[in-house]
Amino acid sequence: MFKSSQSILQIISAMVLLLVAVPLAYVAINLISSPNKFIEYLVETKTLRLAWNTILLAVTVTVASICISVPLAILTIRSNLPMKKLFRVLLCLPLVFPSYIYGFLFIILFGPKGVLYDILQVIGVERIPDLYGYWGAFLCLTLLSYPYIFISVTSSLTKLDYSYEEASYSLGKSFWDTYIRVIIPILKPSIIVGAILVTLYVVSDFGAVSLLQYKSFSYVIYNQYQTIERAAAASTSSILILIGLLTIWFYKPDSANTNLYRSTASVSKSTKLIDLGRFKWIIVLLISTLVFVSVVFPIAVLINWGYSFTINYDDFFKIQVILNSIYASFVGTFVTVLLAIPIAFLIAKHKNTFSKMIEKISYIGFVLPGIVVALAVVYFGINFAMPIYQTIMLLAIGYIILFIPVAIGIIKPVISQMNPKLEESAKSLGASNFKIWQKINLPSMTPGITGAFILVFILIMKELPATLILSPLNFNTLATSIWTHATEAGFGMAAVYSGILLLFTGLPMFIMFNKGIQE
Amino acid sequence: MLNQIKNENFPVIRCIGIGKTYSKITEAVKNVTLTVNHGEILVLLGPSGCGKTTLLRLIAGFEEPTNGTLSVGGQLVSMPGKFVKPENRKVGMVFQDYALFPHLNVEKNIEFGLDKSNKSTERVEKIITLVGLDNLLKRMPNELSGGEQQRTALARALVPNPTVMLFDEPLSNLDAALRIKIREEIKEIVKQAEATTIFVTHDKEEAMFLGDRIAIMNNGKIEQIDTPEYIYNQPLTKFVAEFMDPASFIDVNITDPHTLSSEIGEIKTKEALVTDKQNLQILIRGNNVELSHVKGSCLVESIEFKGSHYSYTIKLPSGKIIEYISQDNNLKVSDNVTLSIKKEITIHIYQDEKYMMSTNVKPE
Repeated sequence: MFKSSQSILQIISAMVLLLVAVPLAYVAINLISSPNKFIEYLVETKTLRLAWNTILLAVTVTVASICISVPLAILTIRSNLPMKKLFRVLLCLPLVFPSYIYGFLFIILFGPKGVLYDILQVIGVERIPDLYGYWGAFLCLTLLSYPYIFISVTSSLTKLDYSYEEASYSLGKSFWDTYIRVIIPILKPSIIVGAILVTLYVVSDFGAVSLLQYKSFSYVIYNQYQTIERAAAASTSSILILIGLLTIWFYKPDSANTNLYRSTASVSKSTKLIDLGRFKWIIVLLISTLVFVSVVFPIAVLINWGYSFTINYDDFFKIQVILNSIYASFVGTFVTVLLAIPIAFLIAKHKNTFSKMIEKISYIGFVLPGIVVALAVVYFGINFAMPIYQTIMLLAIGYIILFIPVAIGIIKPVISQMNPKLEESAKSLGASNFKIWQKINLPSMTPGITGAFILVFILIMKELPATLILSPLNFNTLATSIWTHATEAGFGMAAVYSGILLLFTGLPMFIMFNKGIQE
Repeated sequence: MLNQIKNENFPVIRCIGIGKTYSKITEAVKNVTLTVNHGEILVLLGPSGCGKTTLLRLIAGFEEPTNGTLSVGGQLVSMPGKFVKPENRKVGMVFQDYALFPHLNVEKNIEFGLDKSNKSTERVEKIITLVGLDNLLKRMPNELSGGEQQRTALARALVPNPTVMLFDEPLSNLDAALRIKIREEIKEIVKQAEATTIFVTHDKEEAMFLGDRIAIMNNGKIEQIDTPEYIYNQPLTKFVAEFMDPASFIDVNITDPHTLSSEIGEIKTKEALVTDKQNLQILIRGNNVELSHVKGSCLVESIEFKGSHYSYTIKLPSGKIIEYISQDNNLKVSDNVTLSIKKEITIHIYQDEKYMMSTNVKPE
């Protein structure tokens, strides 16, 4: 009985893995069918320039994010900064913005004829630096992605025992020596975890770079797809996947052993905090400025444009867009979570070579940019599954590949913590396999499944490139509508849809951070 | 600093009226005055929450005292309006969980406290040999056993040649056998290095083994500072007596200058007593009393085999409980027996639970 249930799990997992492998197969087929063409394309100056652009942006945004978030984490946890808790929450807030919303709000704020330009004109400044291109993309993505590192570092810093600092002080080291030689090296694993997320985010970002017209891979891939240069798009995709894998190789997350250091739940309340002295209020001012630029101004602009647009043109608004968004997200989430359950169960309960391999493969979607997955699924649909091409089914397959790692990541720990004695005692009472699943396994997995459902729903609703490419004709969602309007400078309409999308996605995320940070 | 101090009795640590208040209600350390002489090991002993660790952290400079003055090695490090940071105090500290830097190997950990200017390899080598870490220098902290981590932490603290060494319950995470071995090593190393030391623990055996003197703390105050012998044999307060070993206090009256009367009979003393004292007690430990099988007013409540001896719990007529220790196992629960104070011992008399005087029992 045990064997048969395990083999059912294995069959389901293997089938899902075939799906997840679609993007890799797509790239492989493309390379094998015309290797010469690929190599020709690879060494073209244009391609090299694209690669340089993408890597430059990823490296500079990651470095800038580390430089911003590590000091911020130390200040908001270890110093006597006023309003620390509030700042900790506010500094995470940029995460709630999808990059395509942030991108157009950035254009409204800092672009030519933008809010900043208007203000500067009053005081006599006639020219501001061009926002389009590298600097705009760099600024926008840095402000969007530094919270990944900030959250990772704050969570390990709150648990880090004060005795490391004290040991260093008692050995005669100053504050700076202590932080540079002890604390930051100890925090390195958590910095790396955050940095991986930031680098992958930048490499695979589509929304911000396309709106700010920075020629990185995902922007160019989309243009190639639009102009039906399918082969070129496939080659570019291969390089993008390579960059993603290189990122993982570069950081070696396996070697970043986060359990090296001792963490404690009971950090002495009496320990002296870093005394900022007379710099205290200057630092408050700096952090407040960052919060204003990255969160308050964008939200203010969003509300202002959305509000004035709603008042003037209420007939433009299409309720169908919202319904489409909910429908697509619901279908996508449902199948993703449903398929994640058996895989998570297999990985958590039956540890062997096969399940380890499945675990590794299932995380591929995590490294793959949405646009690459979308192109691969389109290729797969046209060549092998024409009946579902241009249907919601194909869109759902794209979502599965992209978001099943997230669902597995949430459900797996819940299953690992389930007491195996429960299942055994049910068996000893003569319960059938079906009954065990229905009465014991599923109910104890409920919190994990609910969590996975909420998060995957949010992520799918925000997902732009996959939705844009895989949606049936004339099937517009909030994400695609925002992007379309924003690229055509229809900022008012984009603001209205953004506001609605943020209510659906940002609000639950904000509540989750807030809860996580208070804990 | 250490080399200039030749006088054995030079107080290297001097606390005068040190107090630490966290809020209006919680006073962790209350008005503590103590000195530690050069090369001496002082053990701070007390139950958890008594303020011993806070006192140690005040001396290290991790916390700022609310009142009092504190000097280390002749330098005033803390007084109202003045506070020297821990990094400028020349104080070596060994932490409860060692706090070895996890990203540095043993050698790098040990050398951490040296400045670039005074990299004295000779001293490092001497200390590495002293603590016996020669073969482990390239290991990472997570590859070390508890005892090895302990020795690394000790070496790291010793290398910068601190004026004083502070230990915050460093043995509490080791198993019992290792604890005894490591405490011997610590004593030897610290004595060889002639380091002035304060050692915090809640283990009285450890305290008696390590301490040249022991300070017993309770409720943020020091109840007694003395040599281990005095602390054990002549505790100044009821708290100290009971903390060190099971102890009972029974009420006595002075009936004439050479006689104390109690519920277990009269005690004749060699020295003359002042008769007008009231509310007196004497301290009784299990080996101070004799027992006879003559039917008396005391009742055997329970018997416990402790390996080397039997421990009897005996109830006096007043309801007080006394522990009696014997090699023999010839009593049963519920036996009625007679207890009396042994002859030719020193007894300690307390007034209102505070030590008053000692006197010898006169052999009949």
